[in-house]
Amino acid sequence: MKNLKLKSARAAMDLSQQQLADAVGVSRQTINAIEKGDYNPTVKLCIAICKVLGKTLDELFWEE
Amino acid sequence: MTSEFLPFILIFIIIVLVLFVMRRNNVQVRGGDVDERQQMIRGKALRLAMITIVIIAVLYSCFTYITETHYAEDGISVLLLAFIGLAVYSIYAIFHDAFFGFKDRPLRYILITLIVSGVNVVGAVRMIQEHMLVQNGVLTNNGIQLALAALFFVILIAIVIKYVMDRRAGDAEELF
Repeated sequence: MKNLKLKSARAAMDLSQQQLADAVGVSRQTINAIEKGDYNPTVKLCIAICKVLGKTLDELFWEE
Repeated sequence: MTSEFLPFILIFIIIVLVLFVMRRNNVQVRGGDVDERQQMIRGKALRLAMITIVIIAVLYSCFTYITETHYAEDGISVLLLAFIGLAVYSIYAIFHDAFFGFKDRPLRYILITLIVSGVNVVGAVRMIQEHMLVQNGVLTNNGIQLALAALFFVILIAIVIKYVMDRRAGDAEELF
């Protein structure tokens, strides 16, 4: 399942996948895989992404 | 017998010592950074390579047992198995974006792989010209350079294909 919330939050901050990846210390392909729903990140990585994007875990990763 | 293995034992001890000292002093190897997804993919690649090696080893053993013919000397047989495993591991990792660390540059690896493959092709061609590759229908241990050249060539092709795929598709995905 695609993570459109992450994608839109990243776009709202005008960040590319590469910039977000550099900020959290992973590869661009990993960010791409998370956005496409191909990879389930660990909580540690989720928190790192949330901190960079200024969002909570619920806002980005909770499925309704 | 012991003297034959002495150099290998010494090399092994030296490698272990160097790794131990590097770990103790927290020496960071440049370009070795992999993220959690890449580590997971590498684990899967390792398992796939292991399964491939086991299957091929069993099939080869059965085949030689049934036909009662040896097709390659023992040394090169074992090395070929290891190379096949290495190729499977590398190709799986390359196509799942886990071969390079996220700070690595693929172009540098393409150049290094090209050089290693080229050097081994030169050695292999010399072996073929001197008819040292196959003797009495059996692949001799002199085939190692040909096997190495093939291994690095396969890895090179995989890196190049992935690089081109990333350039075409990845750039469009990168932004929004």
